Amino acid sequence: MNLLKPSPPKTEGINCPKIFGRRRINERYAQFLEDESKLIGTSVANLYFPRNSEEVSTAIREISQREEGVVVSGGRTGITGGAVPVEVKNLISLERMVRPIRVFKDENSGEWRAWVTAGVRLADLLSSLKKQNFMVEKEKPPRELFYPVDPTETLAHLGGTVATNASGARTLYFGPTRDWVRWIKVVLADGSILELRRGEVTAEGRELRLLRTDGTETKIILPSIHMPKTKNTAGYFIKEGMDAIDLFIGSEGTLGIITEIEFKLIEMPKEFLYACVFFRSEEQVVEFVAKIKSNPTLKPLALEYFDPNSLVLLRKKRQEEGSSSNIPNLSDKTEAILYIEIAFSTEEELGEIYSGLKKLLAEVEMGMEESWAGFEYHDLEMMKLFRHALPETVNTIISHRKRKIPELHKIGTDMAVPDEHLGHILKFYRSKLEEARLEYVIFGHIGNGHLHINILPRSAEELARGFMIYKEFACEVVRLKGSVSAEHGIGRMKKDFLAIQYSREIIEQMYNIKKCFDPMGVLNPGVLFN
Amino acid sequence: MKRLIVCIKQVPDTSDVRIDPETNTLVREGVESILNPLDPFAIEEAVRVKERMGGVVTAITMGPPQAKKVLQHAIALGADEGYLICGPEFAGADTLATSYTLAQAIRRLGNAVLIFCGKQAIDGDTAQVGPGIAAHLDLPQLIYVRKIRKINKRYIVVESMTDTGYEIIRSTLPAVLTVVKEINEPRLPSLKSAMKGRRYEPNVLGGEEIKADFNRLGLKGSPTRVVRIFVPEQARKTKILTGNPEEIAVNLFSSLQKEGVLRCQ
Repeated sequence: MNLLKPSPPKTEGINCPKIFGRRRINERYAQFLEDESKLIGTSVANLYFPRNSEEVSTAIREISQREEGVVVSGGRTGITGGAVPVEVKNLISLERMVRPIRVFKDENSGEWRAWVTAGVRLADLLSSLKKQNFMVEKEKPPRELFYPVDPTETLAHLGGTVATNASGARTLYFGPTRDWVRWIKVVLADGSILELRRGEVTAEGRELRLLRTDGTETKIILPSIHMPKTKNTAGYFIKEGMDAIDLFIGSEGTLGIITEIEFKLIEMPKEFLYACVFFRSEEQVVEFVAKIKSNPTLKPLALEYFDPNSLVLLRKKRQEEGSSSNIPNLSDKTEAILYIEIAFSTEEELGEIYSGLKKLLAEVEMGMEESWAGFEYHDLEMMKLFRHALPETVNTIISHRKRKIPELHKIGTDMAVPDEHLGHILKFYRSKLEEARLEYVIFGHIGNGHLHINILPRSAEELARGFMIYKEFACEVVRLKGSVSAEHGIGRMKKDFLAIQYSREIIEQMYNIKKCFDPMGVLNPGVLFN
Repeated sequence: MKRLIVCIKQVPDTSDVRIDPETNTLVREGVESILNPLDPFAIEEAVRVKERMGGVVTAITMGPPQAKKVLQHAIALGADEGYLICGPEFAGADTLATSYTLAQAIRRLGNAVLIFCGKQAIDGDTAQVGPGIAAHLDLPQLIYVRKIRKINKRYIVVESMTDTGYEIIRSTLPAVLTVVKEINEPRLPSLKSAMKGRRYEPNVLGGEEIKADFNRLGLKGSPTRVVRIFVPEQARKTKILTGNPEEIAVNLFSSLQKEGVLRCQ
């Protein structure tokens, strides 16, 4: 069936808590006017704090009736400005949409699931699963359950992680948020409420139908596009015969407001091996990554990279702060680091993993001694602190430079290429950046062909040069069938890059999908589309 | 073969310890057990001495069967062998019984040249076990060691931290050392050593094997008792003084006097 059939909400006598008055909002609620992107927002006249889907519906109807726009705001941890109000009168914050997490076994599939409301933070879901502190129905889970999607920022709201299809280091093995969403409740721009269960509504070829609550029906035509063959959060997810739920996941709040979610959970893997391998060159790492990805026994959950320039910054920080910097004392020979995480359940499995790693490392002329490894949660935490030290160091350097030249900021790229082009793109990035004599580091999800470049401009001129190069990179990535935005999304700040990814016609066709759901353009105006 | 002994302990990861507000006791469920954070420094120093002078680094711990994990951790950090002192007779030991037990084990193992301990364990925070071992074995004790300046077959020279600086102490060997974090930076376990540690099965010794006097072990041998664990009360009384500076000063003086902070003759 390809019919989307939202239902009218029960809204009689329901009012959505709201704060109004620009001055009051500017003074007391200023935090809602910005997010992690540091994009500066403009003030809003109304700030809504719904506590449930019905209140979201009431708020959105009120706003539509006034023919105004609204920005939807979650944990404000995004870095492309999606939650920042710009020239819009209303803001709906979902931070009070917090109900106790419910864990249950789905009878049809036998899967364990968690039902959450949009305002619950990822950190709260993780800790409630760890401490088994949640509501249960009938049956209690026999073992510790696990939600494996691990966006770095655990203060993100779960609603936001679905709206942006968030991913993290473990996406290599477990896939992005999309793969774990089984059901959502979405409030549409007219206030109607749509419930979508995976598998129930799928496109017939490239066509979906929307039956509105007023009885009118609209055909939604999906454009004919080829999505990148990599992790991707650029524009809508579109595929022939696709599940309608996937259209909403990653749509950055432009099609509807996701208010409730059912996630699939799995049993916690019994044990983990965590390791940082200290390589002597970038080439060695690229070669090793190709080998480990094609190996049938080694199935890493995560492969994270630090390039030689990253190590220059980390060594410097270590020199300044000593062992309290959480950075190990690296030998002079270490030129690049690869972080590897592998799950296992028996000692035999571990034995195979160990000999597999040994063999592959030997093939790139590396031994088992040039590494740091552990099996305990404590080891994971230590390595996390080390991994996070790099972006922190970059941010510190930039904030120092900002004191002299306020308009400076780092340029962070978020592009992925198919595995076979990893070696090429790294060389391409490096030659252009060296040629432009920019300061930069390359790090991140190398197992997904998804490396972040952080350019650290020292002057306004370098900032401009950095952006030029970024666009060149994007064109090359698209040529290689990669994505200009693998995980950060488009938001307000990367729309130029969406235009590199897709032709104007395709972006228009995507906008037409939005118009079917939101003809007046109420939801998140300025996000994804101009 | 000369032995460099390191006494280690499994402790709850205090970064994750919570107090049950109703019973005022530690919530131990779901709290991970880790190697006492000061012990890696003791292990590292023993390994460094071995690298200079030769010998065997032997880690010992008293604890339940699951404490073998910290011995495996010690192997990953460079120790050569590990002994778990384990049995019902050791349960409920205070610092006196613990130091007696460890001293007996060290005696039984023999050939100890140096005995290393971390400054203290982060659960009890007593810093008594290291000195206790020295007393039981009648050996010199060098505490809060931040540097080994010199060591040879006959004697050792160390820098020992004090409240105001450090003392340089020369001692004969064998001796007991408790070390502080400043002494070194423990090496990180590699894939190879982490795996070696994981696969290591420590030797287990009971009360009989260490030829202990059973009356001096466990609860029986412990004159101290933990009666209650509680969160110290931090009731704060805040009083805001207003007026001009002179008035505030006078007011402050009399308030402090009233509270008994200041006493006037």
